[in-house]
Amino acid sequence: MRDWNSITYDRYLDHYKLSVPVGLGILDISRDIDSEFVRKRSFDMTFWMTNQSLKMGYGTYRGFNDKVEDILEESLSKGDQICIIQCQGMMSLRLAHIISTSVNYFKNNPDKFVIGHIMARKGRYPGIHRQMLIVNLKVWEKLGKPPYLEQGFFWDRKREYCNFEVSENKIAAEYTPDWIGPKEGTSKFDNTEDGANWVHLALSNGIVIENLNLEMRECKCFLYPYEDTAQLEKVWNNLQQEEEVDKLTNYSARTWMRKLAYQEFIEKDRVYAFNTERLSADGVRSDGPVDHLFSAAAGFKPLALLRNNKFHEGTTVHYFDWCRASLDFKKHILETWDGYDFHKWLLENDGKYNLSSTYRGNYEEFWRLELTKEFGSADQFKELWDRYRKLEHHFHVIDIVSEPEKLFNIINQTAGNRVLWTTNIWASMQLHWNVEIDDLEQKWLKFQSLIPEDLAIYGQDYLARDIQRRVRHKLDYTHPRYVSTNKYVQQWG
Amino acid sequence: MDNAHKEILEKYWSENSKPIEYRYPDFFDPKWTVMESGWPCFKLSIFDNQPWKEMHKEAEQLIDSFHPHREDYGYGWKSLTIHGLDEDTQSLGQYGNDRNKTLDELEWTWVADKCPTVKKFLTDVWPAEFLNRVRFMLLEPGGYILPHQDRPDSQKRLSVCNISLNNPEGCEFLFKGHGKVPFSDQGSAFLMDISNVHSVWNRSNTPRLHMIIHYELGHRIRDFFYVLRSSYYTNRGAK
Repeated sequence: MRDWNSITYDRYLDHYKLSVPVGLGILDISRDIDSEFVRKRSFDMTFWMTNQSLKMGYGTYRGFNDKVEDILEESLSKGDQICIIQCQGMMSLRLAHIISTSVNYFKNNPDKFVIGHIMARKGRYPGIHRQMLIVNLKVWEKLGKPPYLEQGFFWDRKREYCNFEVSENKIAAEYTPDWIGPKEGTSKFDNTEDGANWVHLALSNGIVIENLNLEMRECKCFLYPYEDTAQLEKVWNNLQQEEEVDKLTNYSARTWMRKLAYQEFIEKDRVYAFNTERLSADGVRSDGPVDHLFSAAAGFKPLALLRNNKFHEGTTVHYFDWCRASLDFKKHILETWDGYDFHKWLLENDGKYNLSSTYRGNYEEFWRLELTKEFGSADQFKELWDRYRKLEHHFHVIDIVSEPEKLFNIINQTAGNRVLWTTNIWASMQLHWNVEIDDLEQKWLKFQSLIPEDLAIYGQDYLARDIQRRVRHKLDYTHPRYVSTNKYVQQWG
Repeated sequence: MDNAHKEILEKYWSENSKPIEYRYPDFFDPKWTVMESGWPCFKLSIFDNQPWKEMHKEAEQLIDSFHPHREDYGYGWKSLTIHGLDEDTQSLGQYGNDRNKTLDELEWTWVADKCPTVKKFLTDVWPAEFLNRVRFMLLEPGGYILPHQDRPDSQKRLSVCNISLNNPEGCEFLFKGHGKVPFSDQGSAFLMDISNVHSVWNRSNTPRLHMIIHYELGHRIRDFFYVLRSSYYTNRGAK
């Protein structure tokens, strides 16, 4: 899986709007996962991935079901043109990219039926792996809304399916061709892959099926939660136990866990020199000028918030973070940087910090981006920085998820126009990986209950939705609960 | 009872009346379980709480409709077909060379209409896409089935399902070289490897009613594996 840069990529993605409605569903494969823990957590995390797209307006959630055709029917009935179904356990960090690529693909290929991982192993009729199915709903409807049949084994009732040819070029393995197309005639098969009936139907209608391209593949990582499930459960909350992580036999799951383990390891002293979200997109929310800003210690967003909401010489700024390094970094900049050429300051000082999403080669690029896209010019920034530096700055080590009272005790000791920015702390992947979403919701509700009436709020709730909108408009968003639709799981667990 | 038969059965019982031994690998592997374990039978424990007693009642009310079965090597052995060609369906191979035609003609018989609980189990719970022949099997008090094997050694695998709707004390099913199938009188389901020699003897005063399912998995392999996996860990004890 490619390491996309969240500063240059995520930050501006919500600028682009989809040209057609897209449904996003999650395929319930709980029956095949022999652990209630892994079932639930893999569903929750796949929803987290899906939600990253939903929050940007990239698609609408169409539910969790063990039948592909039920999700497609739901999606079609709600007016979607494309439906993307991911298995629970799919870690599609860049699903938005897959969505936009798929929209373009079907725009250019309106008669194509489906994009998926083609599985063409010897001795079996080929199919499409259930981990991700990207379906053109119009063609699915035209083909008679075929159900997606699971892999089959037949000794008497062999399947008579359309002959096929596959591309010479293969993608990940010998059995994963670029495309599969029709050939004259039919043959009988006693073994069929998942979705073999879709392949047969497509080929019978002269439709070639294409595989996900490499770029799309790099946007995701499937945990194969039905393989090595006990080990997956063991390491889920013990990512730092390298030996246990290395015991995972599935390459894809092992890769993901190693990546997460590394992220978790560096997170403890991680510093965000730049923000992964836009600085001014949320507009003005305070009657202003701001008397007190309570801010996560990350990037230059606090400056943008003060500039947009106005501030005065007596404004105080309170930074909070669970990580001491972030606060030290902020303090260090305030004490030593003159407001010009931040990239040079970083080059001189970066040895002391573990900077997120940046490396020496892109400091200058990111800094230029900050100036041109967010602050206008170097001089405009410098003027703002000089005013900002002179304010009274306070630094607090607080984990707002576990000890929100600490933050609100400080906030409640102040009066006047107050602004709080929590960034995406509540919606972060690491937090959701480690804390079960139902517990996280309770923690969030506690946090929400402590928010004073007159506080202007920026940031995201635990579902990555705007806090201000949620709290002030009293919107009770909640997350979908994990409930398997599989009849066996419902009956026997 | 025919003296020769009695002698065969007594000898067979003296040699094979013992518990079947199982050794379970740490992790469930469906292919190993079905094809390579060498187990003569495998309990589908997941079905322990199915309404077997209801099904027994449904079968019992039709007891006068059963047809004598394999009288050449059995006594008091009768059957009634729930799903097949008619209420007295024999091995499908006996209906000519066109097996596909025979398969196409398989249907629910009138028996299924009289046994809604059984039919519901077969349609909603049983994990296979296609049903072939499904029958109630009756073994009357004193009845027996002499040692025989239904498949050659080359077809060694767990296949058909044999369900005890009751199994009175004194009625035993023994696999040669392995031992006694632990059928429950309260109802229990077992996959059987009928390439092993086996024999049944009902030395009770109660008719023994079982149901035998022949099936083809089709697209429901994963449902079948789920049933196997759940049963495997239950049979073996804690994971």
